[in-house]
Amino acid sequence: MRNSIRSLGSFLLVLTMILASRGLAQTRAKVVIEGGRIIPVVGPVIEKGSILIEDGKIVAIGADLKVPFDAKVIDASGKTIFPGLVDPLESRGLDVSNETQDVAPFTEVFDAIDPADRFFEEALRAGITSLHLSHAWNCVIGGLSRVVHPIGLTVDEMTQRANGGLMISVFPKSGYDHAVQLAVLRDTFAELERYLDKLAEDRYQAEQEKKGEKVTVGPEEARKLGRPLIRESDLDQRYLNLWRLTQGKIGAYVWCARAMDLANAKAIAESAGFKDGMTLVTGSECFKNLAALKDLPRPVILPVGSMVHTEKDRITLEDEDSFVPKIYADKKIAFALAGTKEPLYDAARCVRNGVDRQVALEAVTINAAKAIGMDHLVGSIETGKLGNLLILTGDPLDQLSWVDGVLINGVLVYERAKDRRLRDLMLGVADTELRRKADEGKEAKKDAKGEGEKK
Amino acid sequence: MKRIVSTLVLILAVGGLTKAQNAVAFQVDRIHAGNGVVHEPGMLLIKDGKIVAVGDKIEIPKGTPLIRRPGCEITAGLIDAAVPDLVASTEQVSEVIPELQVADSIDLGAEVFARLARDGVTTVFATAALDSVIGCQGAVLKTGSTATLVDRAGDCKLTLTHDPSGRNGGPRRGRAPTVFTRRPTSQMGVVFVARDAFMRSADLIARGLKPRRGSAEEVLVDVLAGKKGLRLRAGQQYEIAAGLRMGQEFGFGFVLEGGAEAWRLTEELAGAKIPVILDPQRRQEEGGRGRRGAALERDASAAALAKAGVVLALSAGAGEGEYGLARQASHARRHGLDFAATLAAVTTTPARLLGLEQRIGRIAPGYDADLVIWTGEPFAATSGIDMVLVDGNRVRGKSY
Repeated sequence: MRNSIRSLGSFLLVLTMILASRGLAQTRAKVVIEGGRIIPVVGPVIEKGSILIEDGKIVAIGADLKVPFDAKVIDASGKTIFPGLVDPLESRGLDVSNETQDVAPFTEVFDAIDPADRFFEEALRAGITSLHLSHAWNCVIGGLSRVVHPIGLTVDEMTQRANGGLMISVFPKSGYDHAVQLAVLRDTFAELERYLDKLAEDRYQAEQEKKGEKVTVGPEEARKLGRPLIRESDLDQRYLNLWRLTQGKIGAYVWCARAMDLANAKAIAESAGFKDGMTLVTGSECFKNLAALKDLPRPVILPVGSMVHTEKDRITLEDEDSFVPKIYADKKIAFALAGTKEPLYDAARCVRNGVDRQVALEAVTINAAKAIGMDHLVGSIETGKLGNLLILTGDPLDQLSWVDGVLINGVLVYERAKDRRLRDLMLGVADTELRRKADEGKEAKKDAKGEGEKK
Repeated sequence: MKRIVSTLVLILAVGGLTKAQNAVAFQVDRIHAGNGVVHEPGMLLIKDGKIVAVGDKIEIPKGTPLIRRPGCEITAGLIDAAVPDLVASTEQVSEVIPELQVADSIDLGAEVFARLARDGVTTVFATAALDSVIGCQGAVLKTGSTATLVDRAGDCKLTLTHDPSGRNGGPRRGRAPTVFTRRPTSQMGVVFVARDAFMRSADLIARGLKPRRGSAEEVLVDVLAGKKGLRLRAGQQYEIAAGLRMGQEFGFGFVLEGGAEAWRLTEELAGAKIPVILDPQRRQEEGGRGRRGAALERDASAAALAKAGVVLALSAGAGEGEYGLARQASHARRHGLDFAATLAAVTTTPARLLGLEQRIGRIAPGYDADLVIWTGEPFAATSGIDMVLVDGNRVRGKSY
């Protein structure tokens, strides 16, 4: 018994020491990325500068930064430093993109994320460091979304923000038409109201009983008085997320495939009370109602599949294409690109079709962060933000540039030279620089082992 | 204002081109004339749908409108030497139908030709559908709002993929083959049908007999004599290998179309001097989880083939816009193919594979005025297509 107590004690001591040292290492972890061309997206480009990350957050950026003696230095000379990319709406990485149930706000994508999905590896390779994972729009109301980074063995490890929002579609899900879709949507919120009324009445009664007083008011009054008394813990799972939405505790991502959906989105958001927390997800046709896209609290989300709008002339049968980002940019409608496999390529695609370079870069970084309410943490290189950075071999919009390294929370989580799968895809033909780096790595290892001399 | 005026001038100048009567000249930053020739800055004069002169500085006759596009660069119109799906139906009368011609069933006014032109593709080779073992002869067409036929008796096509057998039922679908089952039903059967057809024609030659006019044998005799081109549609390693074997057995050469796993046979293909028209590498993600056959393809296939010395052309298949030929070239470029090889793979090489290297694929006097004017370096992610000319006619509309 005594022995076991002693061993338990020593175990606890060791455990405490491990935890303490880990905590110490974490609080003191300093990383400096040195000598790269910094494109912060917000603010001017620094031709040759350094970034200091402490405790996972950016603490200093500058051309002549003093490097702390205990900082890990990453040499980025000749490289370009760019903020980690943000995908503001994504349903890959989930087991299925939608529930079969039309109204499913009681579900949560937490349960559906597969951290081992190859998609996350590809996202990291493409430089995406924040993914807003949500159900897709083949629903009436989807489950609770979540913002993650593409690295980690568990969803908890991956999580950047747990409570995202709800995907709401005003465009009919498969099998529905507009009338049914909206009827179901309105009915859902009406049912929520009825439920809350009942709950409020119960809560008022309970509070009165607690105080030892009798209920003297009528049910109408009791409902009104009871409303502020509702606590999160009182709510049924079925209504919890909807209630949080109407309380502004979580956001709504409202899918409008067509221009006609924009008015419906506005109406339902106003009546249900989530107008301020709403981010519009626009289909390719939405530019036809530009007025509805103006003066919104957040940038609109434009899925890459909706970048080009094609319409067939009924008389000539000729297709006429419109490039939606260009129209948004010309009309000063802030937008973020979503669901892209290669955000930088899609930004380049915007530039190719006449969008200003800065606007295109913002569409995959800071505007995407704003669209999901994460711009205080990600989306640009600014002090106080997370150390989510990309080391690129060249300009972000040059198709010959590659993501050479990725930092998430100041930790180097991806190195191209060590990306075996990429090397397989490239069949060893493409990039001499990549091979040189890999070879250097091998040489260094050999030297360390003393094998270099033998040869 | 200046911009508006210049745009107006441009519209007027190029508008005149629709009749292809008038001469017009271009001045841009760079003209990639093909075969490594670059004019910088570049000037170009076209007349009656043909290129008259090209160079750093050329004489432009008085009164000829000059279109100045600073920042822009010009290449020859892109050529896709393997466009399927231009024919809606498949002829099922026999598995061996090289005597048929796809040209007979192509709608020259189809929207697809206008789309291809907008994407910068000015010449296409319409290939036979995949359902026959030896399919019909393809056709060369110029694109535009109305396509024009250049060659109706193009290469015929041997298909060694699973397509000819895959839809024929048989044991694969859990059903035993019956007398009603269309054959072949397996890869072995496909190869057998092909060999059988070639053997019949080889027999005719050996016995000094003339094939019946207009018959399949007649075409295959020409193939065996090297007078008629042959395409081989094959993707996986064993399909390509079967084609190489058959080529050796009967002594014919071919152009490989598809080549998803050609990267596994780079040396064999280079050794046998088999050109490859590579299927689109940049493709729309298919629904569900990842794309089919993803394990077989390699993004750097084009670069690997070029590096091994294989004659390489790129194809967009039926892809358009973001998946069109210009973007396939970008994709190959990003994954290791250098600029000159990329340009060749979508211009001069396919022109040669179509036997039209004296007419298209380059920017030189006497060549067709098939041009793509890019807003920057061709194939760069940030460069779009500003204007496309087919035989000197400006293509309407814009591709994004």
